[in-house]
Amino acid sequence: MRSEVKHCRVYVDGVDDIVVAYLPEINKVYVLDSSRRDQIPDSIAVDESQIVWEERPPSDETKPIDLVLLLTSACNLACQYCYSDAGEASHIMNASTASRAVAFVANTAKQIGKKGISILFHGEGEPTANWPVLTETVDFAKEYTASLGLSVRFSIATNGIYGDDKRGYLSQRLHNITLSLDGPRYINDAQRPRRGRSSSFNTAFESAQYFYSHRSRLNFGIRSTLLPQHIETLPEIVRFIGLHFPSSQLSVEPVEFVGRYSKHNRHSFEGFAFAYRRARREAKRHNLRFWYSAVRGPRKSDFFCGVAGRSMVVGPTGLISGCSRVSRESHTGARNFIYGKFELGRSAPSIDPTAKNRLETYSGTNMLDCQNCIAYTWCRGDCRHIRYMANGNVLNGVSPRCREIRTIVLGELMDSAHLSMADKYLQSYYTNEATLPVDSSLTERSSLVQLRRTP
Amino acid sequence: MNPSTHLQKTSQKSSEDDIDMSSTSRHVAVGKPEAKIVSLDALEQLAIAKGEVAARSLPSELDALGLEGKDCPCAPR
Repeated sequence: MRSEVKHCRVYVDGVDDIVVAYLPEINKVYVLDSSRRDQIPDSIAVDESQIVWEERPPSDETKPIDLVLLLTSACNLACQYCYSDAGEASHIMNASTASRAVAFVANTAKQIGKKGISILFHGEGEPTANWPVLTETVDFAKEYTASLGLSVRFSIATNGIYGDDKRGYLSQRLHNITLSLDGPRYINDAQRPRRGRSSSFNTAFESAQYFYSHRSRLNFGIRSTLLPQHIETLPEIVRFIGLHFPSSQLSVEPVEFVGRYSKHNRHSFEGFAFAYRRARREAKRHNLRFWYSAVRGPRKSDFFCGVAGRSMVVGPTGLISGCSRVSRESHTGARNFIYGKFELGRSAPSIDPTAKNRLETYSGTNMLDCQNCIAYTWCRGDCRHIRYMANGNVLNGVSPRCREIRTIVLGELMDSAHLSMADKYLQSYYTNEATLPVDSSLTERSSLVQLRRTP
Repeated sequence: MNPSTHLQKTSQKSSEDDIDMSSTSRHVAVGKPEAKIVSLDALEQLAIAKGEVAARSLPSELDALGLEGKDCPCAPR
């Protein structure tokens, strides 16, 4: 009988007198005295049965199986940080573009042997502002995927500024609803006013209550955007959501300095990692699933998102992008992320192979400063657009969020190992940025290689 | 054989080569600063704390909720 043995990668980082060894493929964390550091190898042989690492075929990263439709740039809110200046100019997707995009993704999924596709209605503006196309697309996608023997799951990122008719439709027809609500009224209304600057809180909150009450048949989550001046308020925001929507889901993201918020001074997110840790504890009290995009947990992928083509983002005018933040020629980074277009009168999209190939190079394997980092399998190099905005390119350097990400991940690992004094170690790590030098021999991720056999 | 030397040699074998796990899995490099730990058991024995990442953070959990790969994870909107 032959059993399979894998060499499991060991990531290492530490501070002061301790070192953390992390083996994501088998989901193990060890804390050692720092004097042991030189004894820790780059990989350890383990039985294949111990591997908890999820396999994903390479085609899953480059072939479109998740469709993101940006139905309109129109919006009934005037959020002070909107990444796409929604509402300033009105671009509206027509039903033909949406249905051609659905057919293209469904046909691709069928060709590569997938069982289904997902469709997300997202920005640029508020998807429900293009209601006729949204509902037509749902009907078409259900019919078309059924004809191919595929399943389809619908998701929406929405502001909730509408009444019970739309709430009812969305809760009955869609599978995942993410509603934007930035916390208590005083924060939400300062950040997310209506276009006339009046309060949006009551309507958004009522929508949240509606979807929350229907969560037995849909995945409902709240998304809050955090401004620099509210870092210390993060636990309060979590408490507010937890009290009103216990046992639900909350994702929090620090604002990015793009779109409408690019006009603001660049404040630091200094201390976000520690506010996040306090907020995590608060979330636990309310049984909230709580996360931040860059620390969603380890995954066997070298991509942060579907940028290499898995997520096909189609903008209101039919432009195809790897990134939902870059859907117009005027957006910063258009040359790096837009790779095609659905032209009028043509069923298949025109794809620029050079631009598509460039997106496929945005892999963490091409980010030399990230590969040996203990946080790599969690952030996988972080958002490519954030890297581009900070560094002027995607692959060189590290994310501007790197320090916060590393501190959060190291903290999660210390917590997993029940290390007392974790906060003290993290404060030292954060203050001094005191990473131990990474072993230069750790040049390859063993998760991708070295499957061996033994008698 | 020095465990670290052993590890280097085995790691140079081709993927068709066999590894004798019994010879690599029990070397504990206590007292030899230059020696590498070569097994999970050895690493575990030297640890002052150990654990596993909670399931709520694992991708399969997020996949089950339809949250992984279905959205731009971070777009502020």
